[in-house]
Amino acid sequence: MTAAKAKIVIGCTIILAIVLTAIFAPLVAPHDPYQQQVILRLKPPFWMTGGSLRFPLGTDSYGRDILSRLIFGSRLSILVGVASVVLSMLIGTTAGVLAGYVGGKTEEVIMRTVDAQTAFPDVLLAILFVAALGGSFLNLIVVLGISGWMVYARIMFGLTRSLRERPFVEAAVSFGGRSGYIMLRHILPQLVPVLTVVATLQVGQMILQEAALSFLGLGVPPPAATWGNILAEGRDRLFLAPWIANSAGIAIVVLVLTINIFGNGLREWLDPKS
Amino acid sequence: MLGYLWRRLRYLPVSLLLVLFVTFSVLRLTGNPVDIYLDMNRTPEQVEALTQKLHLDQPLIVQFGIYLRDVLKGDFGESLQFGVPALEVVLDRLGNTLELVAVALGLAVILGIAGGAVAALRRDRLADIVISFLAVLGQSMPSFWLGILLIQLFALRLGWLPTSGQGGLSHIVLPALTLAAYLIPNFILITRTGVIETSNEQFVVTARAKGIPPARVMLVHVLPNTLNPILSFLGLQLGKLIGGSIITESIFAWPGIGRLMVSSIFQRDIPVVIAAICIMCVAIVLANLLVDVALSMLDPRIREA
Amino acid sequence: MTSARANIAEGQPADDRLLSVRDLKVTFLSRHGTAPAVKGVDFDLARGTVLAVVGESGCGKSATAMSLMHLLPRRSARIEGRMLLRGRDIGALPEREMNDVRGKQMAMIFQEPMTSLNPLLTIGYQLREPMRYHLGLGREATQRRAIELLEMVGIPAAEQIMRGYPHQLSGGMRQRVMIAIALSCDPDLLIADEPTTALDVTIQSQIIELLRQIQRRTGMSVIIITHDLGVVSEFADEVIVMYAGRIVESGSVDEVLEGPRHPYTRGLLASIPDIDDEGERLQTIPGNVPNPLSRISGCSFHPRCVRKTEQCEQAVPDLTAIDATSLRQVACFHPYLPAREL
Repeated sequence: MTAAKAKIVIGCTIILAIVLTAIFAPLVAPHDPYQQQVILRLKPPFWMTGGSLRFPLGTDSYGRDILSRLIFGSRLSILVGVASVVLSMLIGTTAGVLAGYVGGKTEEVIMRTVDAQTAFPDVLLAILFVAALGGSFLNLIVVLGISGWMVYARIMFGLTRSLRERPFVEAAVSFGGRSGYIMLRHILPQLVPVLTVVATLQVGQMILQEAALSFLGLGVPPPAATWGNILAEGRDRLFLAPWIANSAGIAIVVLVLTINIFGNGLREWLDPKS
Repeated sequence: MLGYLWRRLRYLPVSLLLVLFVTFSVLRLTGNPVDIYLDMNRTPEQVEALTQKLHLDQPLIVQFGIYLRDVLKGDFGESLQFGVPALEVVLDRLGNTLELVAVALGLAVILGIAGGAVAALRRDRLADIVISFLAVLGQSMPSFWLGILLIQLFALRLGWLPTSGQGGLSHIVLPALTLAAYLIPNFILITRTGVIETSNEQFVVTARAKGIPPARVMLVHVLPNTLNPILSFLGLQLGKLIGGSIITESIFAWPGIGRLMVSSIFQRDIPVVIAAICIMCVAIVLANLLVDVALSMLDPRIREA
Repeated sequence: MTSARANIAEGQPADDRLLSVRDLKVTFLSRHGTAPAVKGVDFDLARGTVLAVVGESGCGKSATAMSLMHLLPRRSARIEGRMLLRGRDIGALPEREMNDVRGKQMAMIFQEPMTSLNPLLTIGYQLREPMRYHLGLGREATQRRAIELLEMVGIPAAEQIMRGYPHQLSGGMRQRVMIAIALSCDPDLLIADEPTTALDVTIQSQIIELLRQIQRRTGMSVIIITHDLGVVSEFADEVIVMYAGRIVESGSVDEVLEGPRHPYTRGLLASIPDIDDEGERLQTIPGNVPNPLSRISGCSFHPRCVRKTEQCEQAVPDLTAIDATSLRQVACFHPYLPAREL
């Protein structure tokens, strides 16, 4: 088995495990993630003194079970990751293919916008957005979607442009295919492999972004159990209860690392040159 | 040269205008300035005075126009938090952010390029596997968590370094490392790919055929040609760098623009927010310009384009 | 398995032979398996001789040349056999000593002049680089010699070109620069790997003419790899025909081109379109050049050969001498006989 296939298989397995955990969260999690029991606050994980298997990863400042919060939080992280990728992929691919195929002024405008927005820090965009409209699940997805479309636009633009010159496109034009039709039926299918790889890797990036925004207080507001929120809460208790932040951190790393390995494996498999 | 600068900079005023307008509108529209500037015990006269001062009775466009006029004079308004001109507040902290960014960038470039080059040279051997894995791990990690980990280890456990604030050399180490961590993994991977691909180029074979020792081939022929994608990549990462600096400054309480901006947003200190965003935009454009200039100095083909 | 020629040649005085290659094997290792590109090649090169290596893509001629210079990546190419340059075994040399040989005693020019030069460095720098390193010459000396070299290869306004960059030159000019670089340290042997393939036809003949003049003047030996038989007849003294990693025929250019014995060589020559042929179909050799990864039993050419018999499917024919001088050799069980079977 090649390295690429190994990455795909291992990545897929772990991701599947995490996704299943997320789906069956109520069955898997030992406690209610929102249940506060102040008496039981700041309990350490079971391998430290004072900890117990009742709360395997310890509790936070409100006495909530961290493991359960992590498990339920995975739902939010995964949903936000996937939804924002779908949104940005739609926007970006449309923009990129349009710019690449139609060219001219359209291309100018679109690619300039790509350049301009790429230079603009997405954190700032998020700050403005949230300051204006408040933090919520939907807003988070929209913000992330809007901040991420440029990647797709760039790549799809380059690909479409090179594909446009290919003989099979010329052939389609010569027997009367309309632009929209050509873009949809001929060009889009060629883009699917690259798109898949990019989108996969971007899910990981979006999850990281979500964590960052939540960390700054710009994500889904507490008491939502997003991993970013847990990290943020943990930051204030670093000295007393490092396990809060660390468990969230490790959870994020595990998921994103797996996604990256899977995505890289996908890319190597589809294009052995890399 | 002048023409070149003009071409690069001519979009700046338009972009700035747009950013200004969006920011201004968003902030003006989403929070009643009366509530922000005046407290609960305000008198009708105070409200009237404020309305006059901020032209709150005028349509948004007019408000913006007036504001713009002031901005062009360098007057962004007075900071709510500090009571001094907003621009002053921002410029005071600009130096701190630049310092942090410069050190972080330096670290990232050195570690990233060196790491990538080593990984490429020892391709598929242990060093490469380790370095590449660390790079992918770095890409998967929320950098601010790395910062938190570093605090835990070096500040809390070992007590070697301070947890926050600005001061001497010891204060800048952790923040700079954390910020550099945003860039290093990608630098490593880009350099690695770049070196591998460049090494397969025909002119590298030519250089080897000339009998040039491998070290020279790497230094003189391979690395300079790899700098092109690396520099281009750097240009794209500048926005991320700024975003990262915002977060890093927050974690380490580093007195820079980023931290200022976050607190100002939550405090609704609109003049400071707008001033800070403007300065950041200008900085980003200038930085991109610098990167382009560096690229053209490096590559004669670009110089003539 | 050494050829008859080699056996007799062993007895020749070593002076005459600049290069001696015995049983050279090059195997490429990839994730799809091992691909033997060169399967046991023997040849000698005397001083002042121009040897052409002919064959289609994939026959192993480039691999042979690159392995002489040790330019194949160590991790993916396995090289076996002996290569003696002036009696010295260059196959076993450590890398550092090989660097002294490359560029100084042996030089090479390549097929793609457009990408053969570093785009970021001036022509002058790249031209002076080997001289600085191998000959230890100072700035002035290298500058002078570089200009001389540029003029020798027919580049006008040498001083200006020295300060210029590769992207400012055309393909033909860049190839001339490559030749100048190759000659800069007075090599005994120049290896030219399809130097004209990527150039326009008119430029091609200019470059070949240039190489010929230089060879005459300096007396250096040349190995020229090409699939253009016209170049072979114009420029080379001896020729080796390769197919699927083996030499199938060798000898002096006149003899081989006028009286080819191996069916493959025949096919190659017959497929050159003749302007006097009227309206006939172009002659081709049926089938395709085998993929290096595939294994063919016996003679590699037999699937495409009109003269094949069962013997050809089972055994690999050795390269054997046809005449007394043993310079003329063919690897075939049923070679064509001279004149009679034309």
